[in-house]
Amino acid sequence: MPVSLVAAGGWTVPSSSPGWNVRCVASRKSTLSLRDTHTWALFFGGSALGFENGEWIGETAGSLIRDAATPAAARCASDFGEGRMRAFLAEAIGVRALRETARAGLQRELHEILDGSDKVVLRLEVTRLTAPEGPVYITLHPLLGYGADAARMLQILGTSGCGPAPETLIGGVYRLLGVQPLAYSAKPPLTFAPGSEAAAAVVEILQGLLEVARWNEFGIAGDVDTEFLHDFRVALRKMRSVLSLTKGVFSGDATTRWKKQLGDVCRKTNALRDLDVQILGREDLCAMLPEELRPGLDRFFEESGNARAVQARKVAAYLKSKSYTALVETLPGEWENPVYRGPAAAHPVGLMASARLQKRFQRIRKLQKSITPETTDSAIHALRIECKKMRYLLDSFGRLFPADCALPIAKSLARVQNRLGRYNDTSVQQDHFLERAHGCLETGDCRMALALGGLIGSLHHEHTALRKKVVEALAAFCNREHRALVKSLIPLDQ
Amino acid sequence: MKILSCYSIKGGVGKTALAVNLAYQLGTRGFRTLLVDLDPQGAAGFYLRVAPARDFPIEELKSLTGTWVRANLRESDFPGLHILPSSLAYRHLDNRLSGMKKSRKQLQWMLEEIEDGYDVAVLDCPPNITLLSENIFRASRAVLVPVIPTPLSSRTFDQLCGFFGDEDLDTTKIQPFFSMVQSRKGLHRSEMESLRSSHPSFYRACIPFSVDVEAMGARRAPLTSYSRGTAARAFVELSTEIIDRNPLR
Ligand SMILES: Nc1ncnc2c1ncn2[C@@H]1O[C@H](COP(=O)(O)OP(=O)(O)O)[C@@H](O)[C@H]1O
Ligand SMILES: [Mg+2]
Repeated sequence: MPVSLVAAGGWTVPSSSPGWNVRCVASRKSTLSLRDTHTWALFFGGSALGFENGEWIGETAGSLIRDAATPAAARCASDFGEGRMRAFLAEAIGVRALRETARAGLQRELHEILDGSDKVVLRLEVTRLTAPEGPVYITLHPLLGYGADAARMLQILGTSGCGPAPETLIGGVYRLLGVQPLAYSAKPPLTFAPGSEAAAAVVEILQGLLEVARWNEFGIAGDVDTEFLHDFRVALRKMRSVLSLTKGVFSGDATTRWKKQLGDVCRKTNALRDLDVQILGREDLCAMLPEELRPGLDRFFEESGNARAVQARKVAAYLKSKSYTALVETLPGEWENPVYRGPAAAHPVGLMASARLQKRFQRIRKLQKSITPETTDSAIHALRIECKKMRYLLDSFGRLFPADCALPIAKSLARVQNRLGRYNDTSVQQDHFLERAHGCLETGDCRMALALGGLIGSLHHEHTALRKKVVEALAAFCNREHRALVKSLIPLDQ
Repeated sequence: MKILSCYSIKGGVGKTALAVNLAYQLGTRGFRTLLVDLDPQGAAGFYLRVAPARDFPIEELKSLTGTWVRANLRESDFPGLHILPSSLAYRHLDNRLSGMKKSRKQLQWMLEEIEDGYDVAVLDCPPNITLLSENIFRASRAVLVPVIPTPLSSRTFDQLCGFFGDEDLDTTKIQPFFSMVQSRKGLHRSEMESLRSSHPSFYRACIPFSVDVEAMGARRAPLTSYSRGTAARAFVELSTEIIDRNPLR
């Protein structure tokens, strides 16, 4: 295993000693451009990515991935050519965009240590941080079968001013440049206890979510990637949901007004999100069609892309508008204002949460029992909304309950939601494609109409087949075991 | 781990020259490669500047073990290439093998113990037909045989084919190639022609007789790692053919 060490700037490789020759086999200056997402997904995931000497270098789980074919301007995983690098990034950053986080000047050297027969017995990889001026990073690469030489070299390095590395090269660059990676989570950490008063707990939740939403504004306005809008909308929807799920904590009028205001913000972004989802799903949609029909979708996506550009500008402008900024700046103060406190404001949050979780579960169970083959899609849609509410309750208050109760419920619910989500998507998409297909018939674009027809058929088929899975997952969620768990949802002791 | 052996009944025909260059080619082409030097003279280890292995405790062995192998693996200077250097004690290997149970499978079992670490092992074998060579034939995916295109060499090649037949070994493992070819000699040309027609399994690439190959001894590195000359190109071509004929992954 390679050993990483650090020495002060100006450090030099120890010169030859008896039985050993030291040879510098490579030395060159280079510029390292470090990349990460705005959320520091790579940094906090223990990985790294940089562009140096015309080549992308990724580091994950101790191994290096190189890609010399993708240009420096690549911004997201799908910009990389098929291969290990793309797979690594798709996993590590999803659909998030990359940006340059720092730039460093380096002097890279490779030294070989040779024995009496001029056989390499170990290698030293030396990286001098020259801009900003910093330490020297040394990696000793032992060769299999030459462990004794490596041990001896480690000793020599120790006496020549090298010590164990407290930070990586990248860590050093960030430190010296004053770049501070901040962890981002779409789920803000919560601190309230089961015995806390409901109002304080709900305000903490709302403020955390509003902070998440506001952090995402710049990424939406700059159209960095689609995740910003996604997280923004989820935060807003959760805020609305929390408000209705905690009825009584605030006065009824205030609750209604805030919900409407947040709903209005969300609605302004609906069209953009729908188009994002559609464009992100391009590969999957194409895969549903036989090769010959796929070109028909080119125009479709071109139109979607144009429509998206228009929507993105609209949303960006809206986020800068007075009405939006005034709203998000006044809301936190209003939440804390005692005049808006409702009758349940002082109740302990734990008991309130368990009562409302149980109520929500009973409602889902009632709907689930009433499902028959005749049940309409819109009734199933209503059920989906109920499940979503229960999920938000668990997200916000699940931590107040013993994990062995709350986790299995949350897990089973997630499975229901995944299926319901896809069930809903396949229905909404059919409607949307049908509408666009009608448009094609008017303009005479037969190829696009044909492709859309193919998609509708395929979605219809999937939708019909999903129904059975949805019903199964719902039944599993409402089974006896889960009913007992929900009944035993008793808040933890403080 | 697939095993490719460089073998001939005769000495001095180019086994080691191929073993070293083939192993180097495999390593640089991304195969995790182990070069196993089975010849007590240790020529392969010499070319890669690796000292002979620590004493092989041959007297004490009831069977060949992977423990000793693992303790003596050495990383070469070249990417993807490790070597198990030879030991002088190999001189007595045949003697000891004959005292072991399942004496024809010992080598295969020994190599199986390290097969997780490598895609391919290249065996540089000592000459003669012995119990060790039978072990080699059984363990190998391919037996690569250098044949100098002279009547005497052809005769020993026929002897090898005969031996495979007598012992019921898989004759399709035998993969000959021409070594030390002097194409200006009419004798070489006619001998090659007749051997090719009787043995279509001969590789197309031929290794020419070249001072470059001799000079490898002074340079102590695989010829293909530093030369682009005719002989080096022949080793590259032959390696490509060998990899194509014997799928390694
Ligand atoms: N193609 C060749 N041209 C010239 N000399 C060669 C060639 N192949 C091998 N030799 C030389 O012949 C000698 C024996 O070669 P070697 O590969 O060690 O044979 P083996 O392993 O079969 O005994 C070595 O000195 C080597 O340098
Ligand atoms: Mg030899």
